[in-house]
Amino acid sequence: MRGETPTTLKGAVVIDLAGLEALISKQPLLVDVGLADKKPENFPQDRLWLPTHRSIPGAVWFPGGGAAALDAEKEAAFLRRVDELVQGDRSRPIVTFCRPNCWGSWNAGKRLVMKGYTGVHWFPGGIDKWQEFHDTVAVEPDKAWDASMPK
Amino acid sequence: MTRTLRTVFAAALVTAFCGGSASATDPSQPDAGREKRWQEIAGYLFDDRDIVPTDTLIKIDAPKRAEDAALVPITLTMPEKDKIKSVYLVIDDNPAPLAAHVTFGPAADPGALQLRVRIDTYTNVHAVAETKDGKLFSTAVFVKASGGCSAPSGPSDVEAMKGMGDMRMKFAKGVEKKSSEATLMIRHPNFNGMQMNQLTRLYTPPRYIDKVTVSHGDQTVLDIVGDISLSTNPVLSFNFMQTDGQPMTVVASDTKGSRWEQSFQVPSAMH
Repeated sequence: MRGETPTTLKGAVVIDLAGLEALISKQPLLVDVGLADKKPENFPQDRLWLPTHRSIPGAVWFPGGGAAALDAEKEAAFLRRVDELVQGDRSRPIVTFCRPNCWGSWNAGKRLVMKGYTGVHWFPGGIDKWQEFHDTVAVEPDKAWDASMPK
Repeated sequence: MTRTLRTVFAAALVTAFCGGSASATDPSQPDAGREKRWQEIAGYLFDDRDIVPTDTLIKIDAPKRAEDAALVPITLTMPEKDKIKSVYLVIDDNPAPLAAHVTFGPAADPGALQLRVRIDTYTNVHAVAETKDGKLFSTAVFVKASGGCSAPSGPSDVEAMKGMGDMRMKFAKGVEKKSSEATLMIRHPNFNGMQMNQLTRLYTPPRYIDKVTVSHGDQTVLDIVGDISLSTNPVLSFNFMQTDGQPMTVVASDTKGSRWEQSFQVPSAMH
């Protein structure tokens, strides 16, 4: 969902690009919850459809992982995977992001705060802000997360 | 001496490392991932045909940073125009990378072409010229633009569809004898299927111009196969070899099966 996002997230630190750059040396877990491009219905078969997703280098991509309404199973899968990636360290810095005006990263940050993570950072500028000054890399959906999604 | 050399060598290493590191964070520099992406697209579009980089056969003029990612003006120039059969415009990181394929007919002056496209994220844009002897030549620029594919076509879908298929054409004097310039505007939302209706929160179904043929008298000027990366209300500027007294005729069709045809009188004595 896109729309104007709040300026704060209780229990998390809201960071701008400089904040993220300063945090990078602490090797935060970068959680990208940007949506995957959806193939338009009736897209002609003879045309090339080849979506790619570029993100902050090192990011783990959870397409749709920030949806406002995640069913219990998917929410559990998201939290389980994050827990695995931080190896149970709930104080490890985590950055949630997608694109500007994308609520997904706010939602994901909120979920992590509620779960007891204390190092949550929300980067509302997302990929757009990052790529103004830094390169991006193509990333694939996180395999474990992808496996939990309905096909 | 040895020590000095070693120091110089070490300094050179550091420079090389910093240089490498700087280019890795500067998106305007080619990187392996972007090249891999282009090779993958080229494989789909051109199979295993050779594509030779060129500085002379085709050039792209595009803003380094676009003001509006849904309306990015792109100009292609083909200085050795007599060799050119067709051109492909590819926006590497758009989900449907091929924006347009334009084939020139006998009434064309393939020296230049201008169109407007949507760009989804900072990306390389490639132009590929196909010569009459069947060879492919490519060039690329990096364009900073973001969000062009999901930007709505208008204040509402109904508004965006008003007058769909209406066309206008403007003419100007060409730079060379007998060559004139034309700018075609087609009213069409070119819905790409990635735009969300802000009221219903549903994606507007795709409906876009997929074919345009421009003729002058009974000769073809150009054929365009378009895709979802062409902007709302497509605008195309091109050159043609003018024959006085002959009209320009445009036939356009979209993916919902609509077809529009319109003829325009070309002002005589333009050159």
